Amino acid sequence: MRARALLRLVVLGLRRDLRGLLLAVVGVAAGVGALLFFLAAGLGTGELLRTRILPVDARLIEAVPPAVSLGLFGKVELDEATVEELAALPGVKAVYRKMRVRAPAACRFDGDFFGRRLRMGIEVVAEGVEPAYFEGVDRFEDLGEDVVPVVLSPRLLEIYNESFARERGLPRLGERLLVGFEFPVELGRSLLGDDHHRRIPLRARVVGFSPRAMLQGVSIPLEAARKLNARLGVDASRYSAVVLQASDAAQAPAIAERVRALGFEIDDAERRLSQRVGAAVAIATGMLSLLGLLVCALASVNIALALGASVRSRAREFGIFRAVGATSSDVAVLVLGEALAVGGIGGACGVVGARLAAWAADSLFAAHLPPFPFKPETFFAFPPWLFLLGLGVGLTAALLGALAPVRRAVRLDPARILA
Amino acid sequence: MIRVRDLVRRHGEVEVLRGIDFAIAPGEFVALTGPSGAGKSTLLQILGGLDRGYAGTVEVFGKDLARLGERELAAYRNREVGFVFQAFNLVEGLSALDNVLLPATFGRGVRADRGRARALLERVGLGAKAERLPSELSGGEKQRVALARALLFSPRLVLADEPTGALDEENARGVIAILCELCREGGITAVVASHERAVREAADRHLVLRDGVLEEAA
Repeated sequence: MRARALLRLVVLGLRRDLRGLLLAVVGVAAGVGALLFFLAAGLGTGELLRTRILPVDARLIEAVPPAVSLGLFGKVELDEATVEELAALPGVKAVYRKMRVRAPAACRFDGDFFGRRLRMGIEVVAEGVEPAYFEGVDRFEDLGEDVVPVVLSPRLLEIYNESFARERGLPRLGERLLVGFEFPVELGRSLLGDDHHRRIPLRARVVGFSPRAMLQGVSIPLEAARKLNARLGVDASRYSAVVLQASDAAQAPAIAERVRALGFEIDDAERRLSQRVGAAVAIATGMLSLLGLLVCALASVNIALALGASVRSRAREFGIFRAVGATSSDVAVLVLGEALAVGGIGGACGVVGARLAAWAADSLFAAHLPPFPFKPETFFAFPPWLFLLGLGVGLTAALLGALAPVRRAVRLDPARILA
Repeated sequence: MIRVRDLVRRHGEVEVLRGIDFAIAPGEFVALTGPSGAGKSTLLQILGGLDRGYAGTVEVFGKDLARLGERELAAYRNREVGFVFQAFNLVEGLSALDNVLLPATFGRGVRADRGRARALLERVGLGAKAERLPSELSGGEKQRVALARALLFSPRLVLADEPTGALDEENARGVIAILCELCREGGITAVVASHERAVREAADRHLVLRDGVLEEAA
């Protein structure tokens, strides 16, 4: 059968029962639209979680000494020898040592803060990290003076901007604006009254931001932490943690197992939280997507009914086609063509509908949800494959709906119909 | 040449055709008559390859129709047979011209020759109404469109089942005249089931089907 002639006969067939088929198109569009809307919401929320709220690099494993060490062979500690042992584990590409500054620290700020008068005090946690851990951050090295370079987490800045700054009427700040900013830190002093350490006054200078920086404190160069601990008279040789970088993410679980076997614990609280929240998002998305699929299934039934009625009412027409040379396959192709047209148009309308609904929802959220940290511009993600999926689901629903009508059409006996 | 031997067709318990034997020479114009329910339509549908549920042998132009596959049988209906029905059987929504071209839609390796379709419509007196829809044509005009459609691929066999049954006398005469003329001109074998006297008069032979049995009329 020639394609152009087929198209003309398909259009002719669709026009026979325009109302019924229009309803079928609306059904497919509703199903595909609902499915895509919920999937896009799940993808968008998941992406927000993975990239901004709880970014987790699957290649990194953070080994820490056990909280309680009761081993027969003594205490499990992270000294240079054990770090070397960990670095030699199969699949480990690099190791990054971490050392906490083992004394309280406080920042008492009283002065001009980007054009606003600010007077405040805050406890500071500082952790020394090997500079290579922060890719792309310059000037992160021990300066050997009383100015300590610090790297901050972008999430900390987000929390400051959307929560702290908003509540206190302070200016919103960007990463570039903060680079070079200095603030006073007094080591060995705690706002909570833990004053038994020797005090060391310092100035901390922001040199950059990295998602790998600690969230609840500041990251400083490892050598600076080592020297400060030595000056404070506390342990400056053992590490508080070591980060192992696997050569690829697939090897990370095996490395983690080996690390545990050596008596260390894995600090994966954030990873587990990310997995739990991610799983909750995936389950919610799955449930809501099932709703969309259910609507698609109903649309499929609707197509079956509409096409079935259409085939019944056009039995004579199909008989004529057979009389002038159509095979039963030609008739099947005609009915399938009509179903695919319904599915294709419905799928396309569903895709457009989902996009519009997402846009409307984003507009509503932007207008009515109060600002909060990590509030995204959009809660939806529409990767190109999602559009193809929408069309595919529409066409599949139509094909499934067409099965019974096609069967009926090819089984029509032209001799009986035309008699 | 059409050869039919010992043709039996049953519809359930009812034997519609009872061991029919006959032959038709190429180019013959045959009138087929008989009372309603005698099996005329069934016989035409068997000859046209639409009905395969028979016993016996039906050979048309050297082809044993029972041995043809579905695709071959469709090609046979498409290229070698032209059907004309009592109820016209035009496709609503397609113009007269597109109805004439309908066999080209399903023909394998054929071109939709719009020039030939237009010429056929001219020939049956509907050149000016080529773009009209069936609903805009009279009964006689519809049957002439159906006749043009049957002749699109210059078939070797035309099977007409009561082609004038739904027409008034004047239109019936016109359609019969055109049918005879076109078949004679093209050397087309025709089997026309009709009660019209004009058909019997124009025919080379007259076969009568009564209670499933075929006889040569006197």
